[in-house]
Amino acid sequence: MQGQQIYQAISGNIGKVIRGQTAAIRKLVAAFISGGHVLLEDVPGTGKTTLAKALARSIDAKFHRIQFTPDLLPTDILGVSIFDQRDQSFHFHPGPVFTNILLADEINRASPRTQSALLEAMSESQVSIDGTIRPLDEPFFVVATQNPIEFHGTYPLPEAQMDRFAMRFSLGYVSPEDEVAILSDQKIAHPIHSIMACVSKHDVIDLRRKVADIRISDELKHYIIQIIRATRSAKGVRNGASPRGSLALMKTAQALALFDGMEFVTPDHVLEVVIPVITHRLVMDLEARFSGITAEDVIRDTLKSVPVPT
Amino acid sequence: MAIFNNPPFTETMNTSVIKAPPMLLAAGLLFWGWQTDQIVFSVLMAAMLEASHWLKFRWAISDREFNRISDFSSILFVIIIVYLFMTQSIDGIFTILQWLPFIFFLIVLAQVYSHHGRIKLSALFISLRRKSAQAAGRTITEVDLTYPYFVVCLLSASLGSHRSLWFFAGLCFLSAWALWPVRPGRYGLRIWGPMLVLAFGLGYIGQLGMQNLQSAVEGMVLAWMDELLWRNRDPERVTTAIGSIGRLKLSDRIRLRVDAPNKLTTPLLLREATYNIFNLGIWSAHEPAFTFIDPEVGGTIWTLNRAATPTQRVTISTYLKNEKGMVPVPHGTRQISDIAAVGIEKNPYGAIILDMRPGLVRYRATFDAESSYDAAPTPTDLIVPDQYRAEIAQVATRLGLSGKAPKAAAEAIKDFFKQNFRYSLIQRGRYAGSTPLADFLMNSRKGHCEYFATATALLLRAAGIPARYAIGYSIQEYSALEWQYIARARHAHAWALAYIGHHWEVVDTTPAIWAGLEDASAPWWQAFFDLWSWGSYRLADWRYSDVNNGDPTSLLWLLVPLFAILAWRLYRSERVSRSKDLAQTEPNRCPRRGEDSRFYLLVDRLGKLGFVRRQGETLRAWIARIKLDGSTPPIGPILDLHYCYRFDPKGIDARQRQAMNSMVETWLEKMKV
Amino acid sequence: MRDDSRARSARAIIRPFLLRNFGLVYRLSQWIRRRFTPAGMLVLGGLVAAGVFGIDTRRTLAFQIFALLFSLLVLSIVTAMTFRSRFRVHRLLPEFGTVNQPLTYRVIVENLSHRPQASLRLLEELRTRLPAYNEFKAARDPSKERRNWFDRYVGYPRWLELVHRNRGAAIQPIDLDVLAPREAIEARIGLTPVRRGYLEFSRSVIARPDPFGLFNAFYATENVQSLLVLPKRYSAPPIQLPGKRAYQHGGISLTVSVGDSQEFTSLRDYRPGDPLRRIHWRSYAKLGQPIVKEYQDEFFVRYGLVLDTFLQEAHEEVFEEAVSVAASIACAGRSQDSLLDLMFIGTDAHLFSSGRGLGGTDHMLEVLACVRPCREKSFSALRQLVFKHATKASGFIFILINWDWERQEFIRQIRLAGLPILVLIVAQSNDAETLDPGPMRQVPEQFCVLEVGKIEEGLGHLQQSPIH
Repeated sequence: MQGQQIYQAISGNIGKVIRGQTAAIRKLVAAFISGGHVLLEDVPGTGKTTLAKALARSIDAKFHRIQFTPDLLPTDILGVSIFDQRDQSFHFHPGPVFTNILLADEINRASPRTQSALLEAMSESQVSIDGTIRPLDEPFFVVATQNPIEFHGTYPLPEAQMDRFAMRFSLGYVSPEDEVAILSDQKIAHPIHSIMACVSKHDVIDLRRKVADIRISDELKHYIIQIIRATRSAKGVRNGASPRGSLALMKTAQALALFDGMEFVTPDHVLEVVIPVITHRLVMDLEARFSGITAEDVIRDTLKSVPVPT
Repeated sequence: MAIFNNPPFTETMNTSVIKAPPMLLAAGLLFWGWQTDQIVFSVLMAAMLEASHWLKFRWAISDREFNRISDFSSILFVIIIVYLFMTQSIDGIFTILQWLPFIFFLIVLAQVYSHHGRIKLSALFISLRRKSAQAAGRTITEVDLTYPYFVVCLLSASLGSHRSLWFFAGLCFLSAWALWPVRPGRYGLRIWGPMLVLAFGLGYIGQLGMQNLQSAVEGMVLAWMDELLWRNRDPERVTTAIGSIGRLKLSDRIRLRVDAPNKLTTPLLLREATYNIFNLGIWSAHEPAFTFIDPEVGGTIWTLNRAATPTQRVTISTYLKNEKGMVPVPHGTRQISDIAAVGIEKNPYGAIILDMRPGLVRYRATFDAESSYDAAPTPTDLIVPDQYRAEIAQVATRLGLSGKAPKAAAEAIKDFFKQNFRYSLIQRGRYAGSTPLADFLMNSRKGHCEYFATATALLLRAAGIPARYAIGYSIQEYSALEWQYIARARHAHAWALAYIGHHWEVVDTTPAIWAGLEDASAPWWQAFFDLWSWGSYRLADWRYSDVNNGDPTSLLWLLVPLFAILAWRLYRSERVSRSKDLAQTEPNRCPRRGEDSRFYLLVDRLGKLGFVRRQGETLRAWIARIKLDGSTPPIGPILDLHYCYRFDPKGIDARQRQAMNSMVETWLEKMKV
Repeated sequence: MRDDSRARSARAIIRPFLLRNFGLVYRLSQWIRRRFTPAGMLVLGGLVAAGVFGIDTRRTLAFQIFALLFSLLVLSIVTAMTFRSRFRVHRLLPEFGTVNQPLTYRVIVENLSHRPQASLRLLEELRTRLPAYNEFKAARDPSKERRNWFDRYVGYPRWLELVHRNRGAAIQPIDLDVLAPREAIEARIGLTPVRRGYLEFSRSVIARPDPFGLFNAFYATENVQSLLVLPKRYSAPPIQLPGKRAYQHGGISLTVSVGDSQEFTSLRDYRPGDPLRRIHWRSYAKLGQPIVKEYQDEFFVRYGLVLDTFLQEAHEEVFEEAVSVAASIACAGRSQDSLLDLMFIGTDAHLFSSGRGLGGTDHMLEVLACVRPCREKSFSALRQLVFKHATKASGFIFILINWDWERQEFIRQIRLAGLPILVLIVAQSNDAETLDPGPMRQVPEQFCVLEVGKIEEGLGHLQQSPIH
């Protein structure tokens, strides 16, 4: 199947379960296909778990969910080697990270040590325990969630670690009509149970490779770099976006172009995802924050000041 | 979305930071110089100020130096005020105000030639000076003094001694010049011009009105004073002083309305009171006792005299201030009818007191002008007071009155006044000081009706004819609005009565044009007052209609203003307006590859049609935003090719390029500006 | 003496009367300043002057100027009434602001009419509460020396100052550019808050001058929002008090919940004597042998930051500086493992903890932004609160606004308890020199007097003196 068709199948399938979030679904699938991970920052109950589950079911992939608690240990995530008395050897019991789609719920409730264990696994796509390196299955996609309201008992991800996520966005509440539709849908049973796979894992892996084939002109590359560099010198920013950010931006834009059935990236694709991709990578000055300058403001200003290719 | 930055804190905000356009100050100064006869100085000052536009040097004037200059000017101001006040008292104030441009010249000069070009407000006000207000969040207010200085020049010019229409013309011209740079950008000459002309017109009318208002207010104050002090104190008009009629002449208020069945060929005189003793400028009556008249059966007809000569009728409407009041009636009134009065009194001199109720009263008088039923003459009617005996005797001798028969003597006196005397208007706005009668008779030979009547009466007495002095109203003005004759306060008149041939005759020697002259000096807005007066008359009529049926149609007139308000509100409701095109700006261009794409022509054309792409907006987002209507050919396919051309590293082949170009051409054809 | 009391009683009668008039005068001056453009104000001034001089139309020609200016103004006002357009104004406020720090926020203005609009200005209004008589009487004028005798007596500048503080900031009007029909533009507005607490936005007003440019026509829309302004912060060095780190029973999860669990590090074989509840049953089941959980003991530092809110004879500005000092310390760098407990007496006793995953500095700053002087309770309430927490704390930092006998006694008692403390006194410059360390005489490096106006310096000195 063609890239566009695959995308439309997946997003249509997920759309049956999650109502009124077409833009969010598009971003999520773009991050997935471009090989990055997603951080959802949202109030409880907006459907984050359902979203991840629906994605997993649509592509017939394994799905695990980890609920992060303060006493969660790194071994609870990665797995633990346990000594078997009978064989006199250690057996490795893989943790929930060995899956295709991982939902790390409320990642900010675990201690920094546990957080970094997961983040290492995300960036390396492999886990090293007791000296052995165990690769993770492909595709491997992490959807982490943070609750922006609760402060008590949390360790918010430091901004330096946020860089590992390709995108950060929120689902938010939907329009009244869609909320009514949700109630109608779920009156009898949750639609997630009735969802079937519409594409195979191989198609997805193929699609991931096709992303790299999408052409991007030098001018747009320059444009992306200009934006990134501008964020480094913006007022109130202590650390701007890193090259990882520009890479993520480019790849996500390529994924979007693929979804639109185009063979090259246009400026609209770049602008569509600039804010979800770059905003969380900026480390703001403490003073700036308390003076009301937010990272999003900085990005918006940058977009105004850097001329868009026409 | 477009973004417009307002830097969070700037040093200069608020107040007058607009600089006056070049030469405006010079024009203002010259205007001032012309009006106050300081041409030489004003030319010098203007030259010094305006030279700053050509000369390039500037002084670096610090805040402290500004403060010093300002203090110096203030001290100078105070010294001059004190000096002028001591020498010229109140007039000194006006002189100072004429010199204001001198006093502030120095500081304006300093500002104009300083580097910074503006002055901090603290230079002008001492209270703002100590430890400048650099507390957080406070802005340092700076002012540009050129415009205020211009206004000061205009104000000072108005205090000059020239009084001509050129002042207003110059004012208008300078205002237009001064207001043009201040107008907001959205308004062009098409709206601003007519509005300014309207403002000038209104201003002109206003200033005329102000002048007239002052005269009218002064007149009104005097008339009301007269009412309060004189009229009310003397409800029975026991005395009348010379000059009291004169004061009435200042008012145009309608006092009486007379409905005569036939047109009046000569003015009808309605008399209020008669007097026969004159002393020290005051006429008084001898034993003016009032007696009651009994009404006829029915209570609405009062008969004063039962002679059977042919009569005329008039209906008179007037306002009573209290329950009882004197009302004017024609000479020789026989009967007063059509009035539901409580009682009517009369006195031997023919005065009538009506006892009814305050407000509008209307009565019909049946009269025979030829015969008058006043009391027979008494010796008092022949007395000439000592003060005037000499002058009266002189004139009487000159006219040879003693040898003439009464009728001939009366004619001679009439001719005498007709040929040698002139009527003089009571000057509005000036209190009519009383001129001695002697002066009137001998020297000035001009005055108003009281003088004429008094002199006539005295001369008649000197000729041996019993004479009395009557005051009342002269009915001659016909109001087209009201369809009846009206008498205003200034139609109050005084005349003499002579007893010739066994009846009292009217001898009115005041030049007949007096009413015309008075009328000519009436203000132009008298018509509005008349309308108002007529309105309240109709209302009072309806209210007080006890005998006559009130005319219900008069109430309909009250609805006219209501309709007017309704019509205005309907007119003000929403109107459909056409949309205007916006100003255009050049589209942003930073092409790299595919720089020569024809699509940019399309962008240009859209720009000319008024659609501008915002900063940070891609072409596709812009096209989607501007929502072109269905009549424009679709841009989507052209945009796709353009994108291909620009952003696809593989580029487009010649065929696609040609397709794009031809689509652009077609589009441009269809979308002419 | 008698003259003084007479003067005072006279003032007591005159002042309330003056207060009512201040309100009127203030409202009138605000109306003129907003409704009239600078040119309009000049014309108004000229009108008044011409009116005064032109009273006698025979004497001067000033009445002509009056008539002309009057008709100009009347036309301006009348045409200003024809402003029928509608707009929508949406404010995007940031999370916080800081006292005396300029902040900017975005405003989106949407043109709801069919016609393009130009020459518009946007005026943002903050809710202004006019001060009551008590407030006015009690307020001190910060720039008292600048005023002359008359101003000081009448008190109008002082009143104005109060109004400015109540409002919280002054927002200058900004010019908007051309708005197409149905178009929305974004603008940036800057303001500098002058006090901490909430800024209440009330209305947004779009103003458009008349064709002459003299009078503004208004379109006002209700737009209620609030913005929290945090107290001013200085750069404070990280506080390290001498003393040990107390063993905090409860481990990490003390900081996250009430409970008893401790940090679980690893498994090891069972050793005789281990408590049964430590057995890891799952491993036991798998291996057939008891396996026991290992715990790590938790030690961390917990400081109490005590803020004195009893404002008796002290000035308001001393209290504000004390709050700023507390905020600076709360924001100062801390070792990752320490907790800070903010304690003060408001309407009740309050205690807020931060650090180590406990809500962070934001919340503490929010609390400090809203703290008010306590006038109902006495100092003993604070003493009770501190003693209640003395056992759990590793040390205390006291921020006092007074150094009277009661407070010295209190400090002496705390020292007797053996806890390491740091005492910071915030005082006016003229009082500062005469402060006697009292019970802190032996440890002068733990006693610091911060002068109002030189707080940053004072805090810097803390850094230099090594506290070990």
